[in-house]
Amino acid sequence: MFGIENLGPNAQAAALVGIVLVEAVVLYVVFGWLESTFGGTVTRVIQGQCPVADAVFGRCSAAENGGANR
Amino acid sequence: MMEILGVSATLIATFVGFGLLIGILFGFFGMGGSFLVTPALLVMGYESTTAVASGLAFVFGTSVIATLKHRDLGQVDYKLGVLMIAGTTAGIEVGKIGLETLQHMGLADTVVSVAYVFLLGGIGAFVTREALKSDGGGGLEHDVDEDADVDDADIPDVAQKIQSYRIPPMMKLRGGFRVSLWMILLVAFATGLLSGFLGVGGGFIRMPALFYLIGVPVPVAVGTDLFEIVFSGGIGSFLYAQSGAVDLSIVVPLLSGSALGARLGAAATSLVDEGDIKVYFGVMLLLGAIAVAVRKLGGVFEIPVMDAVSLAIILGAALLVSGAVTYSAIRELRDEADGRTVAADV
Repeated sequence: MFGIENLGPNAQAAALVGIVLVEAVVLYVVFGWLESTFGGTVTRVIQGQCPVADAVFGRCSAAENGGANR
Repeated sequence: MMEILGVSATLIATFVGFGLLIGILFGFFGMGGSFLVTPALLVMGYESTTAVASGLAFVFGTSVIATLKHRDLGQVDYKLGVLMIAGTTAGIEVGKIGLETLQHMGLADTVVSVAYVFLLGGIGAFVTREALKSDGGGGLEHDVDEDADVDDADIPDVAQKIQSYRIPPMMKLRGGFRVSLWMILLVAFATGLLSGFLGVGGGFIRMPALFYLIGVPVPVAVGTDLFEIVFSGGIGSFLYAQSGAVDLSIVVPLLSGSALGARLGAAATSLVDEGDIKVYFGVMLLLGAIAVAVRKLGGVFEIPVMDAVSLAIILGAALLVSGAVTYSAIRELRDEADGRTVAADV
């Protein structure tokens, strides 16, 4: 898997740790982007300040809760 | 059945869901990796070296994500983390010597099993009792910066005593208080000693030690503990990967789920009341102690089904506690919104 089987033990170990590290950082960045993009809307839905249907169709404005985005 | 890179889609979905669950607990408490993943993989039929190695690699990846999130929230004390790594490493080496001595005497299995169950249960009972005694309120502020003033009443008695030993050099830590470098190293050494002796990661020992012995606010204790796990998990993964024991088809999907869970768990520490965090932590440890005791008894009396019972207890506890954490975070968000509405009306 991932084409690292032919490497020596040390290189293979370093590659494995590197793959896990890169995956972790990429996932952190991707979920961070999702959080900053949709986090405010999800928070307003949880707080009952925006109906789910409005959130799905992008009709939830930040102004509804004074612009607070968490 | 559909397969991705030789692994069935059902198995991948199971790992992603399981990762999400563990991620919440890991981001919230800074512990739980070896506790949950390794026994689950063993019950699923993986070899013990693969289960341990893949579990360790997964813990490494999740700790990276959770530490980055805690860093965003200002909840990682790097100075303290580096000192803890130094003290813990020395402690683990001495603990390992103790373990090897017991192995030569043929007592290692019994002593370690009993000590592990009593330590888990003891810390769990102590943390729960202390949290309930203080009525859950009056916790430290979640937004802890280095210059913040901490009320002495919020610092546990033992930590106040340790902070009163002013042996130079003194270190200024997040929360705005000073502790002797030697006291930090001593606490780190003691936690490492237990960790090396029991052969466990030790998040469940370090997190309460940082709070009850050094006086670090709970969210910073979690963040700093996770920072330390990045290094111990990374080195451990590398050592196991040298023998080819890490299975990426397990680690990659688990990490995909835990990436979201760790963010949610870490974010919840800045929402949920500190007293509640301690109660959840204590309950998780108490149920963990029961699960480990059941597994050990199953081994002693050679009853294989006890392994499955133990896993059911630990998974049930993980589901229960992560559900309670999520519920508390949602409740806090709603209360906050209600508070704002009332303030706007006034």
